[in-house]
Formats: sequence, C-alpha cells, structure tokens
Amino acid sequence: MRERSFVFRFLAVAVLVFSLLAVAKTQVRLELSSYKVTTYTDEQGHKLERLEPALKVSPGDVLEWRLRAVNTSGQRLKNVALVIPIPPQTYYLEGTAAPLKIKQGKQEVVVLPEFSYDGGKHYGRPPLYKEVTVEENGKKVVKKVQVAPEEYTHVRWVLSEMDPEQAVEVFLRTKVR
Amino acid sequence: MKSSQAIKTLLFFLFALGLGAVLAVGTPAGTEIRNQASASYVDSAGQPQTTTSNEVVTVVQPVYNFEIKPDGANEASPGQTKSGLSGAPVYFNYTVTNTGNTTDTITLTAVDGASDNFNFDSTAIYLDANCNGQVDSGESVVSSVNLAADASACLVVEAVIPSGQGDGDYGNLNIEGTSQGDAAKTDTNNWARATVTSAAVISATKSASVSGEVAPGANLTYTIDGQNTGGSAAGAVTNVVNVDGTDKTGLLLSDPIPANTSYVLGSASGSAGAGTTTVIYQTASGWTVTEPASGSDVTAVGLLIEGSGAFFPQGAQFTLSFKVQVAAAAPAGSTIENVANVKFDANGNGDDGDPGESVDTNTTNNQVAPAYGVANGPNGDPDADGSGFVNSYTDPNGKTWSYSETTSDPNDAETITNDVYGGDTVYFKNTLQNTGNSSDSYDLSMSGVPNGWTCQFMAADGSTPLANPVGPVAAGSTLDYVVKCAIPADATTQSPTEITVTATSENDPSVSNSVKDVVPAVQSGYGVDEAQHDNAGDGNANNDNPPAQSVDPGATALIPFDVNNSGHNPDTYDLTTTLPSGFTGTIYPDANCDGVMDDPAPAPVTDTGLMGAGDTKCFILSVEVPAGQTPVDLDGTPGTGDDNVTITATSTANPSVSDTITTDLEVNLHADITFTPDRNGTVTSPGTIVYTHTLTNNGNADASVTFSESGSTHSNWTYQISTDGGQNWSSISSAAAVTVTPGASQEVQIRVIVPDGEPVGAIDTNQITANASYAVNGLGANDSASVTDTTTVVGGDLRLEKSARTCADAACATVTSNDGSQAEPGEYIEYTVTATNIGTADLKKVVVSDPLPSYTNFISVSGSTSVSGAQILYSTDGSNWSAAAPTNLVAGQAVYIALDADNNGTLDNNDALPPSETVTLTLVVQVQ
Repeated sequence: MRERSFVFRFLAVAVLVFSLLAVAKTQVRLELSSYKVTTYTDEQGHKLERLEPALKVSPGDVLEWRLRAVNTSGQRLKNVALVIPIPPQTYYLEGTAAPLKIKQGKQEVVVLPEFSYDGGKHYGRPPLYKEVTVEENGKKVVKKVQVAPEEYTHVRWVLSEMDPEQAVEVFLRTKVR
Repeated sequence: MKSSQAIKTLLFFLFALGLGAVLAVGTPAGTEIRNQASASYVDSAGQPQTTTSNEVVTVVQPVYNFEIKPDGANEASPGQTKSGLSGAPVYFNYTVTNTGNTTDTITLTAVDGASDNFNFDSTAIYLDANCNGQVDSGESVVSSVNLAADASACLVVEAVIPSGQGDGDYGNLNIEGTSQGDAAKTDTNNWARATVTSAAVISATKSASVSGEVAPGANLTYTIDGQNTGGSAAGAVTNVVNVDGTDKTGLLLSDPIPANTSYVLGSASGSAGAGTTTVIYQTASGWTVTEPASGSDVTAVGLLIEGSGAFFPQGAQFTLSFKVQVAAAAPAGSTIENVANVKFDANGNGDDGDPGESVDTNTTNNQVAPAYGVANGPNGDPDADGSGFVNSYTDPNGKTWSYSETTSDPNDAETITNDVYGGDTVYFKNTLQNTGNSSDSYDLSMSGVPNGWTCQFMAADGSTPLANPVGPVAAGSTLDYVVKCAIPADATTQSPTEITVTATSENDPSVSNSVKDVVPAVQSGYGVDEAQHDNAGDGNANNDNPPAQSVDPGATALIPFDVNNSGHNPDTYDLTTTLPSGFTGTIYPDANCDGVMDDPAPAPVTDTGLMGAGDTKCFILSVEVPAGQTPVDLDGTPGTGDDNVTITATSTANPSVSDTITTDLEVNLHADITFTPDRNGTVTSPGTIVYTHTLTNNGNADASVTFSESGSTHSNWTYQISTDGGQNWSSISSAAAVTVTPGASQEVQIRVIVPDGEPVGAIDTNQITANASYAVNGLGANDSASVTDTTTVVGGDLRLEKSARTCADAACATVTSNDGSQAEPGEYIEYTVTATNIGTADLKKVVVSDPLPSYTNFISVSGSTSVSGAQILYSTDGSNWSAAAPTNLVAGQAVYIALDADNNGTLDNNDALPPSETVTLTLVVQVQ
C-alpha cells in the first residue's frame, strides 16, 4: 500500500457515526414501562389487582416492569438477550419474572428467565450461589451460600431467534425498599 | 440519604440535637428510581449488537412513621418506674425517632392514667437538647418535635407527685405521639409510673460530651451525676464489689464500656459528697484500682463510694467522668449506647436487692457518623497497589481487551495494550471500592474525551448502561463498571489519549478518586491496497503497478487489478481512472479472480461494493484505443515510464484514504500504405502516356514517401513522376519525399516518354515502389507498396485508356473506390475505356471491345463519342451490329462498340474518327 496522508474530517465522521448509530438503533426497538400494583377486594369478595402507571411510589409499593421488544431490522436476529435491570432502590420479588412463550417457526418454545446478582456479569437460573469468605477459628474459609432473590441485580430472557416484526413482552415485579 | 443529606443534617441539629438511633425504613422521599432495559443480539450479518430502551423514572413518595421509646404497653406494665417523694417531681426519659422517609413533626401529649392512686399535679414535656437526661437551663417545654428522617430527639417528662401520698402509692403517665404528616400514625404505648417513697432515692443521670453523631476515631466523654433525692440517707451495700481480691462495702456506680469504643487511659475521675471514693476498672480478671496498660482491656469503669451504715445523706451528690474513643472501623449508623448503674441500700438491710436499690441512669445514644471514602482504580485493583489487577476483559462482542496497569494512586492508570483503530469501540473495565464506613453511591464522570468520541458508563456486562449515581455500594465492597468509548471512524491520534474517570461520593462530594483509562495512539481504521492482479494486500508497494502493455490502434487493452481492504473497518471504494484523451476505460468485476475477462462480460462497475476488512476483490480495466490513434510511447522506451494510465481506489467512508496504481499503455506505430492501381497503356513511338496512381496512408502517423523503380528493360524510355498534378516532373528516384498524413491519399502521376523508332509491339513493364518511412516519438517503421505500369507501343494512332471505379449503386452515385482497386460482393464496378485518335489523320472503322470480367454479372453497357452527328453501334460478337445496346452478356463474352460516323447503321469506310476525337465505352458490372 502506498503511504497516504491522513486528514481529519470532522463532518464526514459525524455523518458516518450518526448513520452507523441509526442503523444499530433501529434493529430492535425496546419500550420499558413501569406500573404500580395495588390489590383490592371487589364487592363479591374477589381479591383483584389494579395496575397504574408508576409515576409516584412509596416504600413497600410493588412495581411491575414491562419490556416490549420488536424486531424492526427486517431480518431474523439471533441470540436476542432482553435485559431488565433491577433498580437498586427496589428488590426483585421472587417468581414474578415469568417464562416467555414465543413462536419460533411453527413450534412454541418457552424461554426461562435468567438472573444475575453481580451487575449483569453472570446469569443463571435459581437457585444461584455465591462464595463468601468468613473467618472461622482464625482461618479464612470460603463458603458457598445461596443468593436471595432480593440480591438479584438483572434479569434477562435469551431468545435464540427473533423473526422480523416479531414482538415479545417480558415482565417482572420489584418492591420499593 | 442522598441529595437531601445536607438539609437533613441541618434539621437534625435544629430540631433534634438528640439521639440518632434507628435507620429509616425505606428509600428517602424524592428519590428517583431510574431504570433502562437493554438487549443484545446477533444481527443478520452475524455481528453482535446492543440496544437500549427508554429510561423510566419513578419518584419515591413520603412515608411517615415514628416511634417513642421506651414502650409501656398499658398501665399495668409501665415501661419505666421512678421513685419520688410525695409533693416532689419525678423525671421520665423518652426518645422519639422519625422512622419514616421524610421530615415530620410529631405532636406529643402527656396523659394521666386512670388505674392508679393519683393524678400528677402537673406534667411537662421538655426537649432534652443535649440528651443528658436532665432538664438543663434553657431547655424548654415542647408540645411537638420536628425530625428529619432517621433523626431522634430526647425528651424529659417532668411529673409532679401531689403531696399527701403515702409510701407505695403510684401514679401512671402515658406519652402519646401523633404524626402531623400522617395523622393515622400514632404511638400510645409509652406508659411510665411514679411510685411514692420516703426512703433514700438515688437519682443518676448520664450525659455524653457529644450528642448525636460522633465520628469514627473521636473521643466521647461520659459524665454520670447522681444525688440522693430521697427522704432518708442511703446506706452501704455489704461487699458491693470485690476489688483486687478484697470485698468492699459502700455504694457502687458502674458504667460498662460500650461496643465499638475503648477506654481512654488516664481519663477517669470521680468524687462524692460523702464516703471515700475510688475509681476502679473492670478487666477480664475482675475489678482493680490500677488502670491496665491498654484501654481496650477495660470493660467497665466504676466509682466505689466506701462507707458503712446509712452514710450517704439526703442531698449528697457524686460524679464520675471518663472518656472513650470510637473505633475507626465502627460502622456508620451503628449506635453507641451507654447506661450506668448505681447500687445502694435504701432500707438498711445491707443489700441492694430491694426495689429501687439498683438504679439505671438514662441511656445515652450516639450514632456513628458516616465517613466516606472511595478508591477508584484499574480492573480488580481499586487502590491501585498492584494487587488484584486483572489485565483483560472480554466485551459483549466477544473481543478481549488487554490492559497494563500503572500503580500508585492518584497516578493510577489502565492502558489498553491492544492495537486500536479508528472506528473501534474500546472497553475499559474499572473497579471502585467503598473505603468508608457506610453504604454510599457514586457519581461517575469522565474528562479528557476527545471531540467526536462517544464514551459512556456501562455495567460490568458492558451492555447495560449505567445511570448516575451508581450503587449503593456497601462499606468495603467493590463495584465493577465499564467505560465504553466509540472512536470515530476516521480518527487517528499520534499519542495516547487519557480519559480520567472520577468517582465522587454522593454523600460527601468532597470525597472522590480518579483513575486514568488510556487509549493508545489510534491508528487509521481505513486502508486500501490496490495493485496489479494477485499483488493486493501483500504490503509491498513495489509490485503494485501493472506491467506496460502495447496495443495497436483500435484495439482494446485489458488491465487486471485487485483491491484489498487493508483497514479494520468494512468499506466501499470508488474506482476512478485517468486515461489519455480519446481513450475509453470501463471497469469490469472479475468474479472468479482469474485475471481474465469473464464471458459474457459482466456489468461494468464504478466502485468495489462493500468489502469486509481484509477482503480482496478483482477487477479488469478495459481500455479501448481509438482507431487511428497516433503512437504513444512518451519516453521513447517501450514498456517504461509513461504512466499514462492511473487507477485509483478511494474510500467512500474516509475519502482521504486512497491508493493509486499507474501503468503504461503504449500504442504501437502502425506503418501501412497502399499504392494502386496497376496501369496498362498503349503509346506510339514517339509518344507519351501518363498513368495516374493513388497513394494512401493507412498507418497512424505521417508517412514520408519516396519512390523507386525497377523492372524497366528499355533504358531509352523515360519514366518521370509528378506528385503535384502534373505541374512538375522529376525522375522517379530523385523525386522529393512527399508527406502523407494518416488516412490521407496522394495522387501520383507516372509519365512514360517513348522515343522515336521503337518497334510496334514493344512492351515495357516498370514497377514503381512507394517507400514510406514513419518516425514519431522516437519510434520508427517502414512500409512499401508498388504499382506496375505496362506500356505497349502501337503502330496506329489510337490510344486506349481504361479506368475503373467501385460504386455502391449501378448508377454510380456513391463511389466507394476511385480506382476500382477494392470491391465487395454486391458492389458495382464501372469500367471506362477511352479510345483517342492521337494521330494526325482520320481513323476508319474504329471498334472498341471489353470482356465481361470473371466473378461479375453484366449490368449495362453504353457508348459515347465526341464526333458530332455520329452514333454508336453495339455488338456481342464483333460482326453483327445494332444501334441498341445489349441487355445481357454471359461470362466470357465481350461487348463491342463501333463508331457509326455517318449514322447509317452499318460499319463502313465512311465511319471516320478525326484526330483528337474519342470513342468511349462504359461497362457496368456487379461483383458476384
């Protein structure tokens, strides 16, 4: 290759970067919404739930987080991981992240949620374990302890495939600390 | 406890210089819960991608709650009982704590009990601002307290026992509280009891030098003041304590050293208004008067007031003071509680086992103040001491980044050791540690990001965006995070780029720590190597240029070349060429990359199409050289140095990146002349005949033509040449060279001069050769062509001249060859035979004939004459004549015409051709 001088061209770069970003952003559209869950009893004595947009909440309130994802790329995408972080001011309510049933081709598959307690670094299915170092009789001992659902930091669903225009919704609940 | 920390601290001191005891349950009101989801996926091109959702913001609302301690569920089970003289006040100590998540005002009322012996004469609630358990000067009666979330206030409730009550009578009192923020929140189970006694009553209160929060490492001075406020002298307890192995008798004031503190050596002192006082220390081996070597060995400090019998009179006082130091590692928010105890004998039986004889002071509460600290450093090594550093991180796209570490805070840095190119997205993994004693959150910020770079904070997974503040991080815990920077595609840097990432404590913005994330010099992300076929991408600039090619005018040259994406990003390259004027270049893809034009030829292209990093594509530049193009070899040395063809591949993503190859396309010198036609003629002796020839230059440069002759056997015949239409004649060999431009023709006349005395029938054949010499741009070439002129001496004076021309049509409206030297099948040839009387007397019975040539079909024949009044007769056999021209002639036949001068229809001696008159036969045939 012949040596070529290089000229910094800010405008050209800006256009390129924006176009790349635009391409990258339009492939999967994500919409996150939160609802405050309240329970009440109707006149027949049935216990019912009411969901309303969670603009204002109080400690102890239950929030439902819904993440809707649409494949807008026009192509089939693979290994789509949908991640809902657990806000640190809240904690995850065990059992509220439901398995996702989706159609892949002609068959229906079930995607189980996976959980992380280390900021999204590692995921696994409950029960999760972590190692803690404790001092026993002057010796440091590593112990394996189960991670409480309240310690979860992220929840994800991994779809092996997502067809063009396919839309899915996943949800979970947390409680305000 | 975030942004409102300062306000709350202020409120705390304004309204509640008291005990901070219990952490609020719940996230503080006004906190914003922010959340943003993310997704990662592999797109159709197999590239890993990430995307994020909108951010959802929810605001935490206030929750009101509080508690009043100590509890007493009802009148039958009061939470505290005090003894007092009839007609005198007793004092109850309470603590009110705001356990909600926002500031609140708690309304307080004192309620007399119903299931007791008396109602109090009066009750008053004092705010015990310094929490020493006593009503001090300046401390006022309150009906409510205003408390920030988590804050506490100390209360002293004064209740005056009515006079005239007997020993053992008691009155109950309840302190009831109501939240003003939420009136449904009340605390009404705080019953206390005052019992009337005339015996000795020791009242002791305790205070701490610091009220409320105390910093780790600070000293606290505890002071216990006591007095006999009863109706009799207090008595000694037999063997109240064993000191250094000896049982002692008297009053004992003892105060245990609270957890998270240690006794400060030499700080204890005490005195009493009666008896003999000794400060004593409790250690693991019991009480001693000798202060141990280490303050941490002291578990309690005591004041022994020795005496016997009822030796401590009414009104007598005592005091004990000592210091403790708060442990540096004491967790923030933990409470240092302390309560002292006094043992005495009220009823003269020598022990302290009767009700009221073992008295606790009020409890002092100090909350350990938070101390904030943060270490922000390289991956796994927040304090940058080199221990724990992890030198690599694999980003969500699967690329592993390697780091080197610069240790020693505050100059610590993490430097990428991978090569970095424009268009790359680089990842740093950093680790911060909470080095304070309390949970804290941090604002992450960065500086030094070059213009155009896009940097953001991500969670440790590299794909979840992080919103400030990050955390909370428990004291001593670490948090990994990722700094992700997208470098513009066309960026390059000559030196490393330092991005300073700072973590700042949310609770104490003066506490921060930084780490430098260093991106090495950014190399160009785009590159292209264009070269002759099979040589692109080899990094060798010396083999790029295609070899020179030489082509004839009108030919097409094919130049195979390859383009290699030598950058690190996908790119498309525009392909452009520069060619000599008039040349036409077209670029075709060479899909199978064999360097040979595919058949059928593919559609031409003007760019390479998108090419991945490292990809090579093959192309062929087809150059059409115009017919008649003059020779090209600018430097005169075939195959070198002209560089008249360039091919440039230019990056469309970054047009400053391009590569050009050059080559020589040389056009051959083409030497080609024609010299026609051969001529036949008859001449008398003496006589002269002139033949006309056409010299045409079909080469691509000027031809300089000279002439030569050969074959003449009659040395006395003279051949001359004229190239100017017969004006000037010269001998053939000495004729001046004539220059004929490409495509042009030159008329050349040859004159034959026959001397007198040549016999009839003598024939001379002479070949005239045109020798063309081409010389241009240092190139040279020659060509030659000849005509043969055959001359026959005739006896008469009739000279025959025959010429021909080729026409596109039978009427010869369009002439395609003036000398009839070339004709294509279907074209017409018009032959003209002219017979001229060159003598001085009439010629009789003149007949002119011409045979039908082979490979032709007869079209027409016509005759004409210059003789006035004469007609032409026609014949196909030379004996039978007709005035009508024949309409058919078969192969091998000839056509005859004769001059019928007297116009009588027969050929006879009257039919004379006078001197200089002519008879002309015109025969038109079509080439088969």
